[in-house]
Amino acid sequence: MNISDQQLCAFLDAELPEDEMQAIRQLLLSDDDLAMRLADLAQVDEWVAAHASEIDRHPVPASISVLLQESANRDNVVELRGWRKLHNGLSKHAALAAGIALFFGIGLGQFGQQESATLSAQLTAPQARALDNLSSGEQGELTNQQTMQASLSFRNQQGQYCRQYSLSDSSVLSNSIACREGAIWRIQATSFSQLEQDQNVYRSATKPNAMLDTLIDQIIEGEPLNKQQELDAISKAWVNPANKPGN
Amino acid sequence: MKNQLTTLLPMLRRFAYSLTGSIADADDLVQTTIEKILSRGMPDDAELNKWAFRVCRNIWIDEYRARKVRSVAAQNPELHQEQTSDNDENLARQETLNQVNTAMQTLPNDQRSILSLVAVQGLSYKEVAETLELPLGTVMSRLSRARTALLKIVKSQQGGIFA
Repeated sequence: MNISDQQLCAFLDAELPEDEMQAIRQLLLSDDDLAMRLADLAQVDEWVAAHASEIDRHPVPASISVLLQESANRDNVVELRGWRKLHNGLSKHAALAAGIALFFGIGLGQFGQQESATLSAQLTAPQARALDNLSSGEQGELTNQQTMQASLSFRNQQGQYCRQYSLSDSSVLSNSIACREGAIWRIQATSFSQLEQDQNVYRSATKPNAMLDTLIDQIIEGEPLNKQQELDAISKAWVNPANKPGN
Repeated sequence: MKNQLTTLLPMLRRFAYSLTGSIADADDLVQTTIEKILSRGMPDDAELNKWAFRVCRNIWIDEYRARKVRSVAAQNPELHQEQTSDNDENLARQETLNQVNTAMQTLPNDQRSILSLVAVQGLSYKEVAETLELPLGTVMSRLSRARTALLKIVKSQQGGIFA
């Protein structure tokens, strides 16, 4: 009895009528070649499943997480304050450092509450170390071909230090704001943009940095740190000022 | 619907990765799929998982394949970047996955979709037929061809390496 590959595949998937399933089971008891063919076909499925699961080792891009979680008022941008000029200049350098970016997805996490399996509210250890030590405008290489550039430091209304920074790799640029809670940098919001490799243009009318500006506008206390204030904070490991409760 | 899509997300990513062979392209494809489903909705009588796979597959065929947004899988560095372990077993496994990735790219569109839906998603032939709007017999024959073709390609690659 010759068993075609199609029959054997259907057997593997238990998609044959029971009488044909049983006939092939009987053959497998005595036909080593058939058993090997079946094993090979099963191996293919294992390979394909293992190959597909490789993507599980890569975090879901936050742009997708945001898409599934974003609030309805994503384009609600309010007027900015005087520090915007400084901030925009720094952000421009960050964007240039990352190359020509294509904005295809942007979202703003719910302030202080955004947390999911993919949009971590906490920096990784290498990211936190870099954010601890980089001055604004300075760029540092992280693992996995990722680069961080700090762009702004300030205190929020709770007296916590906060920093704006960008992370970029070969395909994605993110801009985030993180605030220091005890010894932890906790991400407050992130915007995402994607590097378009075959079109040197920006797409989409959304204004990702404007949304971060809005958040900074809402939480900043006073002016951004100047260079010396920032160096002092770096030298003191960003320990929040002791005169504010709740830090 | 967002909650359902969130639940479906890991499966959708694996499916997209099977189709594209590139992490970045897969996530692009998933994002476009989700955007399309959220913006256009779905028929009342459709099941979201089948609908999502269908939309994903159609976008891939209609847009991504034609545009060739990024490099093909054979030139795609993502898998190769994982080869940093000193563990021989891991290296061998990664090499096999690279070979599978390359082999997947040689399969015709429908064969790749069908193989992924069966081997990765565990769908029945009937479910695959409904998802891809293909006759059941076509699913069976294309799946068989996909498996045997992929087996042949990977084995020939391994033979080339280890001979």
